[in-house]
Amino acid sequence: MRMENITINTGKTLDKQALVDLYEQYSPAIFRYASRLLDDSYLAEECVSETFSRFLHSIRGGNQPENVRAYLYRAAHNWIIDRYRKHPLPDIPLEDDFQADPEGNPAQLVTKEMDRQRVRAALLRLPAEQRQVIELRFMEEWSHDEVAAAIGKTIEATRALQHRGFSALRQMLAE
Amino acid sequence: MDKNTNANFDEHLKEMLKAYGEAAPRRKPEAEKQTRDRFMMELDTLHLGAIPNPSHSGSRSIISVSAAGIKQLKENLAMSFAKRSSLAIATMVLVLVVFLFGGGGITAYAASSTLPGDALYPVKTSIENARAELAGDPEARARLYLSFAGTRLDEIKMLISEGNYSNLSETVQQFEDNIHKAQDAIEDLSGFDAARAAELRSEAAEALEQYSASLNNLMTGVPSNIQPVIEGAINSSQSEIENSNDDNSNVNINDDDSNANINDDDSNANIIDDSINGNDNNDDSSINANTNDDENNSNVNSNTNSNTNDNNSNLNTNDKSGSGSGGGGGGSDG
Repeated sequence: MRMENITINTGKTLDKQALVDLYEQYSPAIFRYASRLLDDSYLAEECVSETFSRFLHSIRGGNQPENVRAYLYRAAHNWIIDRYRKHPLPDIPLEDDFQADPEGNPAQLVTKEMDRQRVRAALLRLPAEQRQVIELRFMEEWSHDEVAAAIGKTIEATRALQHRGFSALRQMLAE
Repeated sequence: MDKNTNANFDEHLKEMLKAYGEAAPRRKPEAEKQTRDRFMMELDTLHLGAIPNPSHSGSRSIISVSAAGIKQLKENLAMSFAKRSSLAIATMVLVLVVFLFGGGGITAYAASSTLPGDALYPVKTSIENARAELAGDPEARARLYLSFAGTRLDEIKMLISEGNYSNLSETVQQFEDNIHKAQDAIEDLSGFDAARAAELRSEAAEALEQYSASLNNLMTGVPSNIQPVIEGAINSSQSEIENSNDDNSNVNINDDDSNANINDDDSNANIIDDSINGNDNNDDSSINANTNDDENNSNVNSNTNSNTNDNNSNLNTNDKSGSGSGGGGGGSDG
């Protein structure tokens, strides 16, 4: 993963192109991350927008995040948390409502969608940090180092979160 | 599940997670373009202000002012993602006009003592919003929003004394909104300076106490159909006091039970109708689960809870005084 080194000197010229490059590079990933958790492409888009806005805001203040990618994921994460605080989801049932119909027709598609909903419901029941680690480890397939940097914890802590999160998911989704 | 099945299931679970990740909602091209345009616009604002300029303070205020204006624009654009609102567009135009005149001067002064319903009142609120946007520090922002809530309260008093009830509920709504924004700013602050946030929270609580006392005094002077509106404002300021989540002691008000969740250094309050507590005491909220990592927690609940506690000592009690157990009885005076 490329870590961007931006040369920004407040008061002199900004490296505008570098910032545009950063946007191009990370905007799709942040969108993906947000859309998985929000399951809504417009909300995810808003999340991307707010995240980069916050990024620009912090640069203006003269603070340059060392690890831009980690910063962006953290900002997106916080926005999503905030969003759920203000608009909590109704409780999504995990089990029997989603039994696949064995006689089922486009059974494949239907089962996949049901699985998706069950996974989403289970993910949303995890504490945010566990969820984030699961996301980054199993969906984005980042290394432990990268995940630790993104959430601002030690590698041991990240491993522990992964372990707990995965156990919790196993319990919730065991057939 | 035996060990083998466990391992198989784990593989299956990993596949499910992967499949889930891949099937996430796709990005809509028009929306993607809009996001990009917004970014470029904000970037331009930054870029503009960064041109070498001997008088730094001058250029900074241009950055700040136009950046804040852009932010306002952006918020309104975000609103119009969901619905095209001519009110949003009008607000945008107004904000731009305000910034053209620098937010100071005759217009601002004329607007400063207006009441809801007056022609220049929107200018007053736009200036307030701009000031809040300009405040980079969450503490300053919180203080500003609290002071705006105070201004709303003054306006409410004036409206009532004039017998002008048509704009009252909107103003009360704004009062409550400002309180929530102050609350949000304090939450932001607690993210990187918990101590300062705790102090600020207790200051805010004091201010809110005063507001709610003032509102109480107003109750007698309003017609009975207006009283519920004022009550709403009172409840709002009180629940904000009670809903602070760091370093405060709070109480749960349920129908039959008193509950308090004490986690980290905190006690958390939930005002809920039944006795199912949903409380997440990390830095986020989850749905209907109490999850606490690596903390000492005491959960005071009398009814249905899902509690997942790691490495914690847990204490379950059922009244404020912290002793006793069993099902919920009437709330006791601890």
